Amino acid sequence: MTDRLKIGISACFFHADDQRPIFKGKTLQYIEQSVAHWVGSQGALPVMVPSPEGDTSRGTVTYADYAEWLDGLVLMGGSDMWPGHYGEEPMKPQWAGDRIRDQYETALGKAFVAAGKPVFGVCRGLQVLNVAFGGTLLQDIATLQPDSLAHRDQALYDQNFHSVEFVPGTRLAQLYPGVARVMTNSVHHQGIKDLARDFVVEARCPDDQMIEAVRWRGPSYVAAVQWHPEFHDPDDRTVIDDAPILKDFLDAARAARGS
Amino acid sequence: MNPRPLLIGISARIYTPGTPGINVSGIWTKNLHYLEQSVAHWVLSGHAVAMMIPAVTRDSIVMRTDLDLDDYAATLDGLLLQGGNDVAPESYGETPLTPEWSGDRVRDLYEIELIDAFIRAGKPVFGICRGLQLLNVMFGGTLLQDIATQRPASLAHRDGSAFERHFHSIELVPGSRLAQLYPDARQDTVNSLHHQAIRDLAPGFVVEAICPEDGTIEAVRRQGPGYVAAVQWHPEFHIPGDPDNFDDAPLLKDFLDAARAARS
Repeated sequence: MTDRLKIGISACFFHADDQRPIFKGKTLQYIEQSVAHWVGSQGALPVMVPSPEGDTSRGTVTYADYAEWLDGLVLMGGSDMWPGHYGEEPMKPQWAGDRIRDQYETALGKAFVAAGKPVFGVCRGLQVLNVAFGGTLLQDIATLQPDSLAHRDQALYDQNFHSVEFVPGTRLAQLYPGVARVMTNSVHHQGIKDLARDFVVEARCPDDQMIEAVRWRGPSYVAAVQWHPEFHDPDDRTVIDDAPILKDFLDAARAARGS
Repeated sequence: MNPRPLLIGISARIYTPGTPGINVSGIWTKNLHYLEQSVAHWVLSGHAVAMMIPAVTRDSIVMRTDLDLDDYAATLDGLLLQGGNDVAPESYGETPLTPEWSGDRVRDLYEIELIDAFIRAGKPVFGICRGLQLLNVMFGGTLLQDIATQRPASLAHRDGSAFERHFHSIELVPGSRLAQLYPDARQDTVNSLHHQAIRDLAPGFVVEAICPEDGTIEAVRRQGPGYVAAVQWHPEFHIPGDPDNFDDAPLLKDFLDAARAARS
């Protein structure tokens, strides 16, 4: 048996859509190639964890089975969350988010936390974790905090960048000794409003204080960043080198396996 | 600790930016790996833990890491090939008769490497639709690039508006392993949504089911050690318990039993 870590990646959804040119009426679950390759870039084996729920659901396999047989979980980016999950009504219909994916990722994430396996969130994954642990989100940064930077630019997409400052003394800051500030991409529509009670902030955007990285204070590894490590060009020295973050997550996965 | 359930890998469908009709901005500028969720649910119905294997090949543009598909074969207990696009004619030594039949060479290369890794590891491989076609090609067979043009007397094996609600009958080949799984059935009904089909069967393969109306090959198995089998229909789209279509549960159980046997 190979010694490689098996890392689950949560799926994004294309829900059944009669306007879509392919797979009318079918639900597709997908991951971005770049996420899989980022997770695999230090020797772990990435797999996508399909949602076992939906109208064709069958069988008895549970989220706990995935948490037991995989070594860690990455919650990937994607759509907004449904505001109902943090006790709000959508202010606009287009901010209603993806309630089905919220439920799937929340259940999956909780199963990994219950199994003591590490969970790492990317972008939406940070938001899902904050809400799952009791925090709330800004439904639309531009409306609710109009003085903020543009944290998403549809045309620039993953080429929209801003600086991020580590909070001194945090585990994240310790991964980058001697570095106080880095550049990251920024492709998100929502942001953290109220931090989950047992979370600590590990990085902020210095221009508007947006929370850019968080970590759970609980007994297992739960951490997340608001940027997309998988979109950074590893050869681009002007942006953060995400390798230490991935290594820290994988080290935690290896430690959890041994315990 | 519980007895370990079977871990079954599902090959990915690949979206590459540039598909006609898709708005190319945001997420659509990225390479995506996906499945239609009922295929995962079908594997889960056999109490196996299904997971999708991202596309990584040694020599294609998707290569970035040191990932080795042999490690997936060593870690997982079996491989399921999803349906999807046509196989590229160049994968069986032909050129496309028309540009829209060019197929998906990137996915061919990824899946061929993945299949090879699982077979070398002694793990079972089961193909659905395109999966049957690719297995046939990989082991030396050929395909009809377009059934309607090249075998005009054939039934319609695909109906774009009916999608998975298009059916025809199949006949199980007596004495085959597939027929033994269904001792009471000689004929049955399956869905049909494929554009290509087997022309020349791969050496070492046996036919286990045909469409009685036109002789189209509907199920195959590779002879010899190991488990390599495939069907031309989509088991995941059959409605469980519907007496009007094939009951795929024995087929899934047979594949999963082989995965369990290969593990021990």
